[in-house]
Amino acid sequence: MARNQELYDAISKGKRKDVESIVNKEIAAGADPVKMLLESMVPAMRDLGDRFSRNEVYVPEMLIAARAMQAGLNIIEPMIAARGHKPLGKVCIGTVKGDLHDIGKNLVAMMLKGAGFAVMDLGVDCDVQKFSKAVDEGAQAVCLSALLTTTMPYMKDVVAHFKARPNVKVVIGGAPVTQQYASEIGAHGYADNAGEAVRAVERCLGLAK
Amino acid sequence: MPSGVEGMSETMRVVFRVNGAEVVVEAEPGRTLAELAFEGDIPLNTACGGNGVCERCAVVLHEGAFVIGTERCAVEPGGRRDALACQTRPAGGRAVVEVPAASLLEERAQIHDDFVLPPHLHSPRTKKYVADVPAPDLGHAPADVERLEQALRRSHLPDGRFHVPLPVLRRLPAALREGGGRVTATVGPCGGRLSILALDPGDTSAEHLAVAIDVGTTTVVCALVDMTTGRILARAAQYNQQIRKADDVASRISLSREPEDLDRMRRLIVEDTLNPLIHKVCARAGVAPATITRLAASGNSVMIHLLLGLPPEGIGAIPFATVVSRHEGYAAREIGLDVSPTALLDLVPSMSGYVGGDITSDVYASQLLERHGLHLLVDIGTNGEMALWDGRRLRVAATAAGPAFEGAGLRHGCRASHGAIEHVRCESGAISWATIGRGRPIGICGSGIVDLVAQFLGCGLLTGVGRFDVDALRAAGRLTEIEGSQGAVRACRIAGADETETGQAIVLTEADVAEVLKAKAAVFAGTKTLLQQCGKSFKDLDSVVLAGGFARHLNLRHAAWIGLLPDLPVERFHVIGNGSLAGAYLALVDARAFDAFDAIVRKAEVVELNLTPQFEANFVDALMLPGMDESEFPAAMAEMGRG
Repeated sequence: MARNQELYDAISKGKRKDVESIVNKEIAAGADPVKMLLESMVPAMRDLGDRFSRNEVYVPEMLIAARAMQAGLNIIEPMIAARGHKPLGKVCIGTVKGDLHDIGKNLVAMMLKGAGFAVMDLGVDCDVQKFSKAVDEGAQAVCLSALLTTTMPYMKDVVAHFKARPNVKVVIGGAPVTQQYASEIGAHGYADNAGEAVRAVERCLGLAK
Repeated sequence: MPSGVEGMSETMRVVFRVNGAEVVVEAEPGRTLAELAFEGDIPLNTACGGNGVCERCAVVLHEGAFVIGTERCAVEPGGRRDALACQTRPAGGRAVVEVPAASLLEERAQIHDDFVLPPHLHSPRTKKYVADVPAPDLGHAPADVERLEQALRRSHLPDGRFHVPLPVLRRLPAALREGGGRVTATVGPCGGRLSILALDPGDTSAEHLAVAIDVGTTTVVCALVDMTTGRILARAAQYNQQIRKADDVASRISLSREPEDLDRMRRLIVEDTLNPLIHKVCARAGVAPATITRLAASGNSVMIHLLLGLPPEGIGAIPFATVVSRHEGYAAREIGLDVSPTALLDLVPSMSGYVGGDITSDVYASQLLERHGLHLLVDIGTNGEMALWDGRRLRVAATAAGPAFEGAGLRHGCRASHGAIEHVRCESGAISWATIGRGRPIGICGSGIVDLVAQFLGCGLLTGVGRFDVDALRAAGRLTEIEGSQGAVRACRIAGADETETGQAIVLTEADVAEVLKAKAAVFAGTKTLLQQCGKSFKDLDSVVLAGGFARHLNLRHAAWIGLLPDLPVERFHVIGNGSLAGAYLALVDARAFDAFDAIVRKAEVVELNLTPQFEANFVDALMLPGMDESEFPAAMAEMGRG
């Protein structure tokens, strides 16, 4: 099965209801959900992320598309799990302690799912223990988000905590976060937008092309 | 000449109804109502120079034949038709035209410092009392202060001891001597007791001054108030000088972590912003700052903390705790304010770390809790704050709208000051604009941005996801590309390089539109989430109160076209201007104000939008133009021809 252009377009344009009906129709017709994910849905999000990085798409369109993608994933995720499909890797993501903002974090989570990762979304106001528990449960990378200059310093605590576990990679991002700050606190990866976040995680885990 | 002009009767008369009076002007054919109004010495506000752009010369046609633009219309006696005076020409016979006060130059809104007051009893928080203090004699020599108290009691002041601060006591002997026993005491509440805040020799009761302050994140406004009459003697506004260090509230918290940094922030607001403003209003009114004995300020919680030199770090992270929320009677001298050494400062109490005293002020000034039915209040600034009153419960919330509507964060955005494009009109490919102060444009401020996005959407230059229709833009001759840090960005040219003050073309980029979408989505989703919490929707709203400088100049229909404000008839919107300054003013002259503030704070239930599950879905829905669910915008869709 090659790319389902209709599904690809519906995700790119953020048409949530169309995505749901196309996915349901395909499944009913006996399509393989894993192939649908990898050949149509993942490329749609990945291409959108690339266009985002090139300034051809902006945050509003990304969020609208991400929600359409999520609607499709909600249908096929249980089927994929049942087939024992092996994800690209397992990552956890959360907004750091003190911070309630999660729209940006959710977009990154969506992009990671869209790239083929198994994503444990830990939500907002996450402390070190929460991230640590996710790592115990198999997360290879820890993604941290902060939207406020006041909550960003907690990232340093999380990075310091995982110093003792060199196999765990910490990737950080969010409005006030910079590459300089990431280097300063010793994070393994940094991304300044949602599309870049996927590449940063892939690089840290040695998956980047 | 068109034949219609020949058919006009010889005598053509326009009756202007202004401020309850009638002004009759003999009309020559072909002249606009605006020109005729000027002939009758009616100070009509034509901010855009009569180009039909600023819509400030709105009049109501009550009778007569007219040509509006190119359209002919006849209004029967007693009828009503809204029109712009600068675009309307009388076309024969007698015409009756009403000029609303809002369209007159004297009533023109000033930037940031105009506000609407609710009815209130003028009962100033401090009053001046003249006392004739008998001289002591050898047989009977009670302390000076006891003789003063006795004399004050004869001025109908309540019984009991007054609190007399040490600086006032020190002044007492000299004041008694200089005034020959006659002194004027300024008396007001402080910490639950009556306090003598100042003492002057002689009778100075004719001059009793106070200052009301709105401490905004971006702009600070001071008003000098005559406490005896309630009149505002002078006003002045300037940027909050903390902007030099950081634009937004969270960054200012981060920059105040160390005590010396916090003190630097305090000095920026007190010494570099408030003291110059106090001097400015005093100079304008011809009085000395040292005669000011009471001040009241309203602002968001972080601004108030920084003004008092309190560490704001608790507001920076969950659970966003403030150091204090209710504050009265701080010694102005301890804060560093350059007024009378015994002056006191009161602050409007806040509801939470992110819903501050400025919103408490808005709620009181708009009399939100006096209203029956369902009422929404929205204050759009760097943060968008909102309050929903359903007759029983008051739900409040704050959302990070971002500064797009203050003109910040956009390529050619600017604040609403001289040279800002504040209104735009797009008609069949032509774009015309009006700037504040009529000067050459320097950028586009919030109200202009809303006009642009709305009308571009209406005429198809923008798509529902905020992207330009490149072919249409090219056909209109306005497509341009701007080099950005990450490559070229598509943009629409609004004003050519030869037309602007800067000599640089003013453009609107797709990235700018994306910023506007995020800002308007935050406000719309916030209000929708509050409504959902009480099981209501937009159509159930009986009124929408709009506070803040941005809303004063906003075209309400355009705000509905882009899905910033609910699509409701304009009569349901009440624009109250700078409600924060109104609250500070009322804190000075309305003795009931502080009880009312406390009642508002007690009633307020803070809704944490980021923890409310529907908020994110509402936000993503609202990122579309006007919104994902077009049925929420029936009138707007029809007006845009997309219904």
